[in-house]
Amino acid sequence: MHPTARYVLRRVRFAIMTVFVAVTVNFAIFHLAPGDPVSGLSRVPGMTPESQAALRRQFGLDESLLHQYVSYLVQLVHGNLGISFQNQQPVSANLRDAYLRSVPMVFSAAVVAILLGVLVGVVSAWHRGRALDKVSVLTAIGLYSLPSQWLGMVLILIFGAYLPTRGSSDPFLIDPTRGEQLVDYLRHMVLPATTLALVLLGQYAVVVRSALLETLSEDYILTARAKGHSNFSIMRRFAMPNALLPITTLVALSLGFVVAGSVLIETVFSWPGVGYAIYEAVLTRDYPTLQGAFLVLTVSVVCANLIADMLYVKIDPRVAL
Amino acid sequence: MARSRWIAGVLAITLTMFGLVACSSSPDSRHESGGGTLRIGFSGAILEGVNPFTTFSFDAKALFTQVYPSLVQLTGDLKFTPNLASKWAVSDDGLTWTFDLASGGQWSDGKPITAADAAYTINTIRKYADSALSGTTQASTVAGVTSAVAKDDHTLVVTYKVPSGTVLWTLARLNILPEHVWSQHEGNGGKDLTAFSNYPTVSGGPFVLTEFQKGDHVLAKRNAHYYRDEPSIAGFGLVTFKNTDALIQAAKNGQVDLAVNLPATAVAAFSGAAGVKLAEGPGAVMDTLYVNVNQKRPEHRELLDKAVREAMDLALSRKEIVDTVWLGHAEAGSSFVPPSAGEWNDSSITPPEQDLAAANAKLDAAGYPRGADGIRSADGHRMSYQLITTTDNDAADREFKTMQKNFHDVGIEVKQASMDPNTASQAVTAPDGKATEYQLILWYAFGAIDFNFYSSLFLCSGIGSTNGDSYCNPEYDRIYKEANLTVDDSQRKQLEYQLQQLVFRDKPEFELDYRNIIEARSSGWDGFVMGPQGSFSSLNSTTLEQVHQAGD
Repeated sequence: MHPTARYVLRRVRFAIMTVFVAVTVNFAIFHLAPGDPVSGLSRVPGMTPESQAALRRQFGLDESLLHQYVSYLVQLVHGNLGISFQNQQPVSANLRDAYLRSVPMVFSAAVVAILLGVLVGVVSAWHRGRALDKVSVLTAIGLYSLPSQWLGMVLILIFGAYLPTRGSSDPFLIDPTRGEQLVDYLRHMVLPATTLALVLLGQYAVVVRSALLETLSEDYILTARAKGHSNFSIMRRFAMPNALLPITTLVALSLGFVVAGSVLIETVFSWPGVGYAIYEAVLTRDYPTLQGAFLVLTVSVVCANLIADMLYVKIDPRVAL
Repeated sequence: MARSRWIAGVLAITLTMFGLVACSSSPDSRHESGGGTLRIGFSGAILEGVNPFTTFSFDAKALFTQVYPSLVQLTGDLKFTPNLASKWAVSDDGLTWTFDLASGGQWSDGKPITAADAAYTINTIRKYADSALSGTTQASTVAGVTSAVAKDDHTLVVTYKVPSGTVLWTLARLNILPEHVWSQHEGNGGKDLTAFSNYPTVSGGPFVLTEFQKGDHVLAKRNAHYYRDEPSIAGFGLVTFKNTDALIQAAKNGQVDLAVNLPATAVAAFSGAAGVKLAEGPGAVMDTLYVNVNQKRPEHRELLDKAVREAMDLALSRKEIVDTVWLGHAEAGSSFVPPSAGEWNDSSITPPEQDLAAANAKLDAAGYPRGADGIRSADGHRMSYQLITTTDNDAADREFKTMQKNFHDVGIEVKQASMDPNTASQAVTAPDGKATEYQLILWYAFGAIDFNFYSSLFLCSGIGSTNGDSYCNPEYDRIYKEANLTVDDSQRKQLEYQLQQLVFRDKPEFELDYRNIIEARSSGWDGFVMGPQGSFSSLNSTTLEQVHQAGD
C-alpha cells in the first residue's frame, strides 16, 4: 500500500477509536459525578418524595449504570441523542439552536485571533530581541494569561454604555428589517467575540513566534540570506512554510473551540450558545444534553485533527513515511 | 505576494467591520404606543421551557402566572384574591368547592375560556397524576380531588375526598390550560403531555405569550380579551442575565426597565445613577443552617442533643450576618415562615440574641469539655463538623466565616465544604437516601411561595428526600395533618403557629436571615407592586396588570 494511503487509513482508524472512547468516557464522567438531575429538585414547591421517584423512573435513572450505558449506545446507533432532562425536548433540537448561535460568534473571534496572532507573531519574530518584540511578547503572554470571564467583565464595565452586554439579539426591536437585525446581531457579538479573540490571540502570537524563531535559526535561512534574498522573501518563502506545522495544529484545535463555544464567555455575556447550554446542563445534571454536546465536540475536534493530519502530508510529506 | 495581500486584506476588512459595528447606533428598542413594553431583566433566570408540566424554575412559574389563568391568586402577604374565579364557596361538609368564573375571557387563538377548560385541566392532571404526570409539580395541585365538573361555562365544582385546608393554596399554583389544545396531546398514556413543547403557545392570562427562546427571553403582549381589567402596558419581555454585574450595567444604561433579583451589593452600584430608582422590601428568601438530627446517624451523635443545638443557636450572631453579609439589607431570622408571609408568620417567635456566655454555660453543663486547642469534645471526639455551603449562594463564604467565628467562640469547630447545589442535595441524603452522613448545611430557599410546602419539609416521611434536617417528631406530623384538614383559616393559622413553634423549640435548624428583595426600576415607569418575590412574581400578576409609563 502507498505510504500516504497507509498513513491516512491509520489516522482514520485512530479517529474512530477516539470517538468511541470519548463516548464511553463522556457517559462515565457525567453519571459518576455526585448529584443527579432529580436531587436538586427536592426543594421545589410541589415536589414530593413520590414525584422525585417518578422522575427518576421516567429518566431511566433507576436502572443500573450498565443498562443505561447500553441504552445510550443503542440510541446513538439510531442517530438519537436522547431527550433533555431539563425541558424534555429532543437534545438534537436544543443543541442545534445552541450551535447556530455559538458558531458565528466563536468563529469570528477565532478568525480575528488567528489573523492578528499570526501578524503579531511574525512581527515579533522579525524584530527578535528588539523593543517591539519584547512589547509584543509581553502583551501576548499577558492576554493569554487573562481569565476570560474577568476580561469579559472589564469590557462590560467599560463598554456597557455603548454596546449590548447580554444575549445574541435585542428581542425588543420593533419590526426590524433584515439589515437592522444583522446590525443588532453584530453589535451583540462585538463584546463576547472581542473577549474571546483577545484571549486566543495571545497563544497564537506566542506559538507563531516560537515556530518562526526555530526555523529562522536553520542553516537554509542563512544560505538564503547569503544568496541575497530580502528579509520579506526569506520570511515568506522559507521561514513561514516550515513553521506551518505547529500553526496548523493550533488552528485545528481552535476549530474544536468553535464547536464547544466558550462556556465562561457565553455565561458572562448570557450568550445563548452551546457553552451556555453546557453550563446549564452541568448545573441541572442534564446527562443527555451533556453527552450530546460533548459527542459533537469530540467528533468535531477529531475531524479537525484528521484534516490537520492530512494537511501535514501536504505541508511536509515526510510525516507519511 | 498575492497571498500576503489577501491575508492583509481579510484582516483589514474584519477589523474595519468590527469597528463599524461597534460604533454603529443601536436600532430603536420598542416603546410602541398603547402603553409600551416593559423590559424585565432577571438575574439567574433559566427559562427552560413553556410547558407547565416539565418546568421547575421560579422564572417559568412566574411567567405562567402572567400568561395562564388561575382560579385564584395570592397577594404579597398571602391572602387570596380572585382571578378567573370571581368568587367561591365551600359546602358545609368542606368537601365541595364551587367557583363562579369570570366571563368574556379568550385564549390567544380566539376560543373562549370556560369552566370546561378548568375542569379538563384538573381532571387530566388527576388522570395521570400517578403515571405520566407523577414527576411534575402540578400533580400535587389536585391531591384529594375526586371530581371536577363544569356545571356551565362559568361554574366549576370541585369535590374532595376529605375536607382540606389547602384547597385554595394548591389551586393557586394550578395553571388552567386550553382543553382544545392539550387534549390533542394525551397520547402514549399521557406521556405526550410532557413531550409537547407547547410552543407556539396558546395562552390566555392578562398577557399572551408571543415569543420564546430557551434560556434567553420571552415576549408577551396584552390579552385584548382578558377576563378582568386589561393591563395598561402593551406587553412585557423577560430577558435572562447569567451575570448580575451585566444586569446592573444594563439597568443603569437603560437597556432594561425593571431589574429583578438583585443582590445587596447592587445597592451601592446604583448610587447616583440617573433615571433608575431602587426598590426594596421584605423578601421571601431565607438563609438557614440545617443540622442533621437523624436519630440513626452513627457519628457525632451529640448533634442529637438539644442542649448542643440550643448552644449553637445562642452562639450565632444574626445581627452580624445581617450587617456584614447583607450590608443591612435583610432581617434576622426566627421562624421557618418569614414575616413577609403576613399573618401566617408567628410573630411571637423572635430571633434569638447572641449570648456566648449562656451558650458556653449550656455546653459546660451538658458535659462537653474544652480541649487544649479550645475545641470541645463529645464522647472522646472533637466537636468539629463539616458545614456544606452551596456554590449558587454568592454570600455563602461570608456567612460561613461569620458562623465559623461564632461557633469557635463556644468551642465548636466548623470546616467549609463548598458544593454545587446538586452535589449538596445528594450529600444531604447520603448514603443511599438514609441521610445519616452529613452534619451541617447552609441552604437558602424561597420561603413564602408556598408555606404549606415548607411545612411539609419537616415530616418524618420526607427523611431521605425532602426533609433536609431529618427532623422527625410525631407531634409535628399530627399537627400538620390536622392543619391540612382544617378549612377555617383562623383555626388553621393557630395550628400553623404551633408547627413553627415546635421547630423553633426543637432547633433542627436555625433561620439566620430573611433577605430583602431588591430591584431597580426605570423612573419612566410607575405602578409597581412590591411583594416578597418582587414585582415579577409567581404569586400573582398584579404588577404587570398595574404598571404603566410615568405620566400615563
